Amino acid sequence: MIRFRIFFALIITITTTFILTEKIQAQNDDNSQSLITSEELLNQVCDFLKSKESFGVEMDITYDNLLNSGSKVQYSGYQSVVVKKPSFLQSNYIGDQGNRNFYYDGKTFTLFSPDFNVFSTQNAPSTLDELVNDIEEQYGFTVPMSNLFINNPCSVLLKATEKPLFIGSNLVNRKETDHLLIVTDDWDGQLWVSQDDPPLILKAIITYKNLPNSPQYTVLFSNWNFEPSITNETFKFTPNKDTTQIEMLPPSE
Amino acid sequence: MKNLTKKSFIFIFTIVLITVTIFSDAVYAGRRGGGGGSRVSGSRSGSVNRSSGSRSGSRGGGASPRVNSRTSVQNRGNFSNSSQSRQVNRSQNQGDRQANRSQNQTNRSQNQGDRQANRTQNQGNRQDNRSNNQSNRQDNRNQIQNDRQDNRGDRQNNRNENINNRQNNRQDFVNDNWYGGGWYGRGYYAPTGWGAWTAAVGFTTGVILGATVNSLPPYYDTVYVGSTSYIYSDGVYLEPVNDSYTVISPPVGVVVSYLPDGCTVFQENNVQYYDCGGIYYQTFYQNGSTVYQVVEF
Repeated sequence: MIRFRIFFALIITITTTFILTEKIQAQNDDNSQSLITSEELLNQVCDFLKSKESFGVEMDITYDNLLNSGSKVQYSGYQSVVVKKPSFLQSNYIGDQGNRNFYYDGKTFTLFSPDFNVFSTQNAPSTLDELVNDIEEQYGFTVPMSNLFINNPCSVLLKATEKPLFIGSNLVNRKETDHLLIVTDDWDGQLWVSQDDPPLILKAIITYKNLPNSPQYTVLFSNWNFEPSITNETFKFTPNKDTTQIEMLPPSE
Repeated sequence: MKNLTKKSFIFIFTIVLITVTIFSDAVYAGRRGGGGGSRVSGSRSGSVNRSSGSRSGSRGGGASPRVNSRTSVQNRGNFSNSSQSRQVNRSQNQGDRQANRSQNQTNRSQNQGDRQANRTQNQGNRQDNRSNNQSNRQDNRNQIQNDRQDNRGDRQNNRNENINNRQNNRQDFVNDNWYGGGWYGRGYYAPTGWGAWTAAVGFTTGVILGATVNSLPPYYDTVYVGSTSYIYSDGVYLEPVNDSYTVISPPVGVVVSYLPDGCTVFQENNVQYYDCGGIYYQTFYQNGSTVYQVVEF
């Protein structure tokens, strides 16, 4: 009887050892393939975007405004963008506080307000990378998320003082994504990256933490399209006879 | 006794192994759920701690231009810092402006003193002048008496003519100057959006230039021409004077983000203007949005 018990115990021990060894081996194999740092994940996302010469994407935008009363309210907008690197961008924006279309063809950019039928065309640098900084500095506005459409999207993201922090596997539109936090002196950026291949940005939030009440700018990305239809007119604005050209004032303080 | 110890050891060892095997899955899942800086593919069963939020309500007619923001991130939405520095400058300028205001206050007190001294001096001069004037006036009076008689006849004729003209002009005035909450030549009609505030501050028949109030309208922007600040609300401009606000005519060069109701658009020399009851605004872009600058026309 005692011998039988010892034999039984040995059998279980040997079997268990085999199962456990196999499982650990499996885990090691799995980890070696997919365990990456948050920095590597961010680089993967950027490198993928960088590798695409042209693409289209749609964005649902919400942003905070602080009223004179001190209350914070949220407005919404919708933007569709077509990019052809290195020198073409077109965006159509429909929002609570106005609609506007933006055209850039490597020589000039045009801002058009369909509500008022006015536009302004200005000379522009020859690449998207330069344009994105140029219009913000000179004219005080940006095409939302255009930082991500330049040749090296990570250049600005990696200026952060600390490494990106992995927050968790969190939901965007009921889908699990990898959630990253990027901390800088002026803003905190959050990115939600799809866990499918290729890794795509599905959501971004910028928190302007040094502004009163820390307003946030939130963008939900959808319909990433890496074979967008581009015509001769896509990046060129053609005014009609009722459209008036207006000038741009320097940005207000 | 020796055998019994061995058996116990084997049993305990077996149980430990089984336990480790069973729970190894749970440890694995937990590691990927909460860890920072790592990503593991495979099962995605880590717990997600999120606050539930509902998206209710529908988009109406858009944001009201009357509701103005102290901080607006409308035309931002990029991972960059330049807008941020502008915001810091704004705070700095706000401080400078406050300092200027205090300096002006001091200057104003100084001027008050100077004015008092001048007034005493003038009092003496005035007494001398009064005697001289007395004699001159007597001479003039006789002359005027004669002229008046002549003029009376002429005036009667002119009056009849003027009555007809005035009648016509009044009609044009009503047509040309809009009453929808803005400028009508010498003052304003109070914007409807001001509501009870209008009556509360005593604006019963309209907002007259030079009128002073101690409180601000329900919605307003602070706007600037150079370093001078004004209050803008729905076509009406107020100038801060000490602790109150005086209604002023629209300052040329001021830039506002929206126009009052009732303006008409027109173009001249390929430039777009708005006519708001005789006050002219030119359309520009600033910070990516349309703005309107008061211009002399």
